[in-house]
Amino acid sequence: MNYTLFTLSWFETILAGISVLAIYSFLYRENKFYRLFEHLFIGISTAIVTIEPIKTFFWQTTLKPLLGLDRLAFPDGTYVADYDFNYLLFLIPIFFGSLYYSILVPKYSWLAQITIGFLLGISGGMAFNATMVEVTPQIIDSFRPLYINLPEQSARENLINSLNNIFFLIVLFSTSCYFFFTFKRKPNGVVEKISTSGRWLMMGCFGAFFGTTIMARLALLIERLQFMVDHWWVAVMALF
Amino acid sequence: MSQLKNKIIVFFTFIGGLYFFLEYILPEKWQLIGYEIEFGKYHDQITQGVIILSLMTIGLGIINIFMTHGAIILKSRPHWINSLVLLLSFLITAFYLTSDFIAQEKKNYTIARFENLELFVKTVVEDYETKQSAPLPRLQALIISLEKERSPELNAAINSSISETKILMRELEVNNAVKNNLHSQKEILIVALQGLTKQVARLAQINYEKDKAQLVSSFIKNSLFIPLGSAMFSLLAFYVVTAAYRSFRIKSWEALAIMIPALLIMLGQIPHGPAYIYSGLPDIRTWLLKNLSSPAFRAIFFGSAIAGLAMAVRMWLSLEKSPVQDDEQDRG
Amino acid sequence: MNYGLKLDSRLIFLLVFIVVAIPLVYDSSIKPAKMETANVTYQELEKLAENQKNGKPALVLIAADLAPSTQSENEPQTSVLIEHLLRRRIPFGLISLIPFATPYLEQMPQEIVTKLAQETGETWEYGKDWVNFGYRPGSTIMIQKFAKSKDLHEFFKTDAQAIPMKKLEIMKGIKTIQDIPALIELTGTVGVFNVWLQFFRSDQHVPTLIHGCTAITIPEAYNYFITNQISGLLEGVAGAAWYEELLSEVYPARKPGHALKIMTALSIGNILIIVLIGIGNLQELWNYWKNKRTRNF
Repeated sequence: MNYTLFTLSWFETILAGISVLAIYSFLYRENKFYRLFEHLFIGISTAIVTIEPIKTFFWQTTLKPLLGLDRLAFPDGTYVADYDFNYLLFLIPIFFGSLYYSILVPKYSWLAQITIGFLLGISGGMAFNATMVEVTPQIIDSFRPLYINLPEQSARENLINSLNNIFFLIVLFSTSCYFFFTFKRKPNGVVEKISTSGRWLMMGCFGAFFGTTIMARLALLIERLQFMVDHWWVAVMALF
Repeated sequence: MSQLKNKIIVFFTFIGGLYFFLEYILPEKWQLIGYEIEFGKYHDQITQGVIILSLMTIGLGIINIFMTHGAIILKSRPHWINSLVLLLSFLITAFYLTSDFIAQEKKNYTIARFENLELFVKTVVEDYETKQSAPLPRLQALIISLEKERSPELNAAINSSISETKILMRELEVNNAVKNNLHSQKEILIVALQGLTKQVARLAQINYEKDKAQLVSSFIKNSLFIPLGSAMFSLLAFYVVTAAYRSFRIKSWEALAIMIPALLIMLGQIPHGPAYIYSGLPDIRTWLLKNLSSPAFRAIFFGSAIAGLAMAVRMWLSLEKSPVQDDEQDRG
Repeated sequence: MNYGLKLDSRLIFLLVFIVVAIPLVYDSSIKPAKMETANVTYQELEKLAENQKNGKPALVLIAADLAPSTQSENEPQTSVLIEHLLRRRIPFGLISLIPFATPYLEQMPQEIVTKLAQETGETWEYGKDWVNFGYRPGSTIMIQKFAKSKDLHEFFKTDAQAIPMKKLEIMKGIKTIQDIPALIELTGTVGVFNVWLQFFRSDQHVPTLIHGCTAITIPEAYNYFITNQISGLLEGVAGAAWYEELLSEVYPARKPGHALKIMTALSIGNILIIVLIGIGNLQELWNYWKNKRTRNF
């Protein structure tokens, strides 16, 4: 990659590199340079979060049709289509949503709770759909055959798959047992022993999480270092 | 009064959830005493309303950020400069993103306006044939609007469109205009207008690409937003390494139970180059993920899913104390 | 009592920095580790290309729910999948539930198209081969509205550049979710994948779901992979690197992407961590032994 001095892409790369260095300066110690860039990031992120929904949704699908701005006028002043008065219904959620702002006036702040409650209710009502769709296939998959004898597979494959299924169900059952708090467990009883083995097997699961987490975190660092080596350093060297 | 307020909130919470609950459990169409009921008929409109409702919080966020950081700046509290940077970066980014969006809209509006002329010609001829309106004044209006758009780059295309419009007008002036001639001239005019629209679209795109707002907003994203965001999260890599060194120690058998799969998974997902330890490591990793971590995770997931559903039902039926409920209402 | 070497945090930071940077400076890349899940994903996309031959208009949806915090893994994944779709001329649309994804949605396909055009001499066109629907707010509700919409033109109205749907050639014949044979979902953000899985379906049609996850969520993603709730899976940057390898085998003229380079540095970084864990444990053992000896005296 080659950079021509003082072009837009050169400035872009140089500033991006300075941003990365500002953040990494935190590794030495907390400092003003880091704090400044951290606040810069928060400001920019807030602006993106604010403007993007207005741009792609609120303006295009709500305000524009509501104000009749999606209808184009012909040269003689007539319109392509008549105004659809159904769009006035958008005023209902707009009004209902404006109740949020009552939170700023202590006397009427309870009105905001109506809107918040309404949205909480929606998420509650949708939870049935969400849970069923996600969990049902997993419950079905958990009923695995302990003995597999498929003609299209070799005896070795059948044996391995059977053993895998047995192990899978042992892990599932014993880990589930760990979370049974419905009845009192006897010390050294069967359930207690199974739940202890469940705890051990869960440790294996957490180990898997640790192993993959390492990869995720390192990937983040490497991607930034790659940018610094392949782009920023080249842009800096263009100065000399 | 307080009880009434509570009842209103509970009612709206229940109504909010009821629709989506019924929408899931009821079939799309069903018969009730001979009438066909389509429950999700207005689903599009309802969901649109809910999205609008949730987006209405945007302004609240902006007000909050200005109140919090504005107060710090006005009272010159320690590190007020950071708050100033935050507000300025917010305002500058918001300004350029909005300007870029306006420029985009202007570009698309200009193109759409010219594309609309094609539809206009078709409508004029159709209306003439169905004797709904006189075509000549309408086509005259078209000529006037085309004249207004004159610019050195568009002159040729506008001239051609105007002359084709005039020919169409002449065809219409002739009593008993031959239908075929009228239609072929209409098509010729439409082709001329399409040529004009193409030119307009090209120019609008060039103007948009030159627009400063677009350049500045992409500069902010590429030079500040993306590098700052990814660098901030990549700091975790350093801490995860120190944490691994300091805390990942085999002090018990359970720690060993974490360590062995962790090491096998780490070794199984990375290339080793010439110093390959064991070629079966990726397969061991896959086996561990499929047969050890998956069932254990699934058991935890089943528990959390059931708890989540129970919590959702309690929330929907207002059995759970709302985090937004104040003490006064509790007493009421 | 604590005996032996005690490494300062800043020294470890410096060590990580140097060790990881070396392969990047020397621009070295080695063959990545085999990923069975990436093989399956590759086959799923090939199946889509085969099914596309029957001529019915279809659009693959890519939910690129990435952000700067996950770009190191989700970006290479999205890039390889977009590249494969472009090479096989499968039309696709990009969408996101995360507003921070907007710069990627705009830039990524354009960069890949430029790279492919240099390699093959062929051309790909916006609006014909791909479309960017941009960020869409509303999360769960938006997905449900999308899945149940009877007219996707009305649902989207415009693309991210405010171009009306009717002007986009790619959208001709795309009316409902039934015209979307597959959804490719790439994210590392908690809860985002789940809402696509839960709500992007209708009573008549459930699109094939392919998931690209960050490495942290790999164990979670396997849970969906073994139940076939997802038909393809790319496991972090390692999955993207193996996918690149698969593409390079089929298209030998292809220039390697950056997932491969990341993998080399990642490999060395992982080995460093294993070494540090080893040192930490040896210290622990040394302390244990020393303390035991002191007690005996």
